[in-house]
Amino acid sequence: MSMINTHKKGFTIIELVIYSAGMLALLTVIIGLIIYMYGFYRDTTVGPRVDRIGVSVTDRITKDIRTGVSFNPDQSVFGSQTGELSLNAQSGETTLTKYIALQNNRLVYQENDGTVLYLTPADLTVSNFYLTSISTPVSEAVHFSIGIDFEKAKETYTRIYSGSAILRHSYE
Amino acid sequence: MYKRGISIIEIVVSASIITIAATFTVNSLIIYQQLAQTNVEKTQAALLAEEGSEALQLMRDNGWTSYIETIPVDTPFYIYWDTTAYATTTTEIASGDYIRKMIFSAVERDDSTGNIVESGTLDTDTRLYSIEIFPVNDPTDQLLYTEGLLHNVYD
Repeated sequence: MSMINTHKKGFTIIELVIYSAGMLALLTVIIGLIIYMYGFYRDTTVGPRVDRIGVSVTDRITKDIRTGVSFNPDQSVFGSQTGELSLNAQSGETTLTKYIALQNNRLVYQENDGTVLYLTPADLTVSNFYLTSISTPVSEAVHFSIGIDFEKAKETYTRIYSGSAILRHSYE
Repeated sequence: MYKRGISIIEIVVSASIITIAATFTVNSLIIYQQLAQTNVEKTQAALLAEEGSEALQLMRDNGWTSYIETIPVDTPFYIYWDTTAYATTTTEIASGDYIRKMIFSAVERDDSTGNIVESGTLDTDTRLYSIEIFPVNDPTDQLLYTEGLLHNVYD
């Protein structure tokens, strides 16, 4: 007497195809959502991040200029979108030269021809660094403005940060 | 008797938990973002006030009589960068996203001690200045208020 096995084992090809298609659709939706969320997060945070960097660089440059005694006119570029500022500065009893400039869309800082330090991160574009020298009968000062470009919702924006500082030792 | 699939109660409970967790996460992110932005605004306000103070010193260095005495006391004025130098106006102007309102006040001193007092002899070589920073889009939201003294040292 033979027995017929009526139990179905495993999946049919149709079931596998439907399951795979379902999984693929679900994955597509999840990945799309993640990409959208990342874009939304980036657009929301890029402005404040640029602000933080702009404010911090402005503060840093202001403090550096204040340590100045005089400009080095040969190594400074005023009135240009790619300004360069070279200062004779004083830190305590030590005299030194400070150099701040825009190079390859990043602000750089150098002391006494030493190591070049970057003041802005590589993923941000500093599009201009404009310097104006100010002379009064008793002091010297610098006005500067920094333009930082960033993309938000596929459009490019530029934020300008500006400041002024008197070379404190120029009074002496 | 086998129970197959998921009941509607289970779906509702799990969906509620996911919604609560997502709401909490999004709210936390928004609060973090708002705090970070407030911090940036306050720092920018401090930098603007510093720049204002520096500009007043430069004007003083250029000449007390020509640049400081010509600004009336107790009247709001605004300093702006005019491409080559700082200038003042009594018309409200924005510095970026902010308004920087400044006011000079007269300073009076005690004749015997020289200390600043509310009522005494007018010191024409000193001005008390105040700087107030607020956002252009919300003039009631004062971000910073500071005061300082400006002295006629060189004229």
